[in-house]
Amino acid sequence: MHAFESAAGTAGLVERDIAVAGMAIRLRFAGDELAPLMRPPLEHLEVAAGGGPEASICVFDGASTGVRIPDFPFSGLDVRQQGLIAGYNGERFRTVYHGDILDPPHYGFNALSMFDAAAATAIFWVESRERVPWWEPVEPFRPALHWVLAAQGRHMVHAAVVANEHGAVLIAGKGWSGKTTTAMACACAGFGFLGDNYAVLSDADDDPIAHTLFANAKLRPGTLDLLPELASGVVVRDVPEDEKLVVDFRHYRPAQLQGSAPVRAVLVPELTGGDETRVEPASARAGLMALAPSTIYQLPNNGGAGLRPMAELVRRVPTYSLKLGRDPRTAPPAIARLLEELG
Amino acid sequence: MPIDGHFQVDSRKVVHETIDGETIVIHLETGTYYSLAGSGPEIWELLADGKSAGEVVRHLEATYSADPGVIEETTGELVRELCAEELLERVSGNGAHAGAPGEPAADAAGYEPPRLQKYTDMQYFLLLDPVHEVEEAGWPYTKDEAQAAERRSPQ
Repeated sequence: MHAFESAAGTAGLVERDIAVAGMAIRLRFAGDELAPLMRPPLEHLEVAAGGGPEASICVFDGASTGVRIPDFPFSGLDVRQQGLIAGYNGERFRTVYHGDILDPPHYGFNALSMFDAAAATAIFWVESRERVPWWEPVEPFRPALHWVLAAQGRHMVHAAVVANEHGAVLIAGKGWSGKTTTAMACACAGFGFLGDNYAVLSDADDDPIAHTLFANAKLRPGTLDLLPELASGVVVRDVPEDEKLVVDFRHYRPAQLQGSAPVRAVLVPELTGGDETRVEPASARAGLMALAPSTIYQLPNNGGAGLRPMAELVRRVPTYSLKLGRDPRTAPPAIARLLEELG
Repeated sequence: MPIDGHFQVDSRKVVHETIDGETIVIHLETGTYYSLAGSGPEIWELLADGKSAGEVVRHLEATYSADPGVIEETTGELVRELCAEELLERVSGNGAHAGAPGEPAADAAGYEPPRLQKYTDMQYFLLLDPVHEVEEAGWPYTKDEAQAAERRSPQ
């Protein structure tokens, strides 16, 4: 924290309070180097600064603030899977290094996420803004958010979430399952958008409620062939092959950017190649298999704490197999019919 | 070969939930997850609850009308497989909750051998972001470590 305070003292402090699933989190940026890059996907969650936040995320870079972080008392050989640093991931402290030793001489991101549970404070540090890869500002501070939220009974879940007046569906599945395309088709059809990749569940909710987190969606370029109307929402069209297109719902369809909605069903998409999209009952086990492994493995190991709330969710709401037709526009009517039945 | 002894689930590495008669087991460190079906969830729950493998076999024999040899053999196979996958680890001594097995289920049908399905399609997530960078400033590697790491890196 000393390095962050020093950086903020040098470069100035920019603070923004956000509310995620009813939890107040303060984003504290040292200087204005990273805020314009990392803040937008969380801007829709901003609230007026109130009392003390329940947690803070402190964000700074070395280049613009001129503050070099202290030498670490661990070796690079201690960096393990997911960047978790051996010996620095226990009950109180969590530490993840982001970077790529297999990519010399640049080596990649060179950033660090840390969390002190006792202080309810996370730190995100990166060497310089130029090091930030394209995906990080699309869904910023995922490890830090995962840690601060989980410490307060909120759980990030890997799923797309769309809703209408009857409630929300969580669309859960691996990459290439049709999750994002279905969510985008629903958004184009007027559904509320809560997230393309993550939503938040809260232990504090009596009934299952999905809460929004990031305002962006990440698309494979081929999605525009299926849904050309999305083109006007894409922030940057000309991206390298290994990047995705980003749709910023704050500008694309701000009225459809929805804060929360009661979850009525979990949908597990499956591409069938048929003419129409069908919805068929599936087991709760299928819902949990679609949700849990990808959620748990995509976020830093947190002792698997997120498994129980996901299991509770699929026990409480039905799971359906979403048999996707060739045309993604056939999905929204099928989902709307289901929500009307369940709502 | 009969198997006995007590076993435990290391909750720092392995999490599990039983739903719809199947147990989903997730190994947090290997990126491998599993589903247990048939009598697998019942065996898993009993072992995780501190019953010995022998007690589990006796419980199943009292509950189901299957050939005791089949129950003992399939239970043993499953336990060995769970240990090989590092989902269970053997505990020295009698285990934390050693005691009489639970009452046989009153509505138990025929014995269904345990089935363990293994999934490895998420392992690549653990390989993302796993490694780090070598800087002239020296962090996180010392210079020697950096050079050694570079030598190990594929071209």
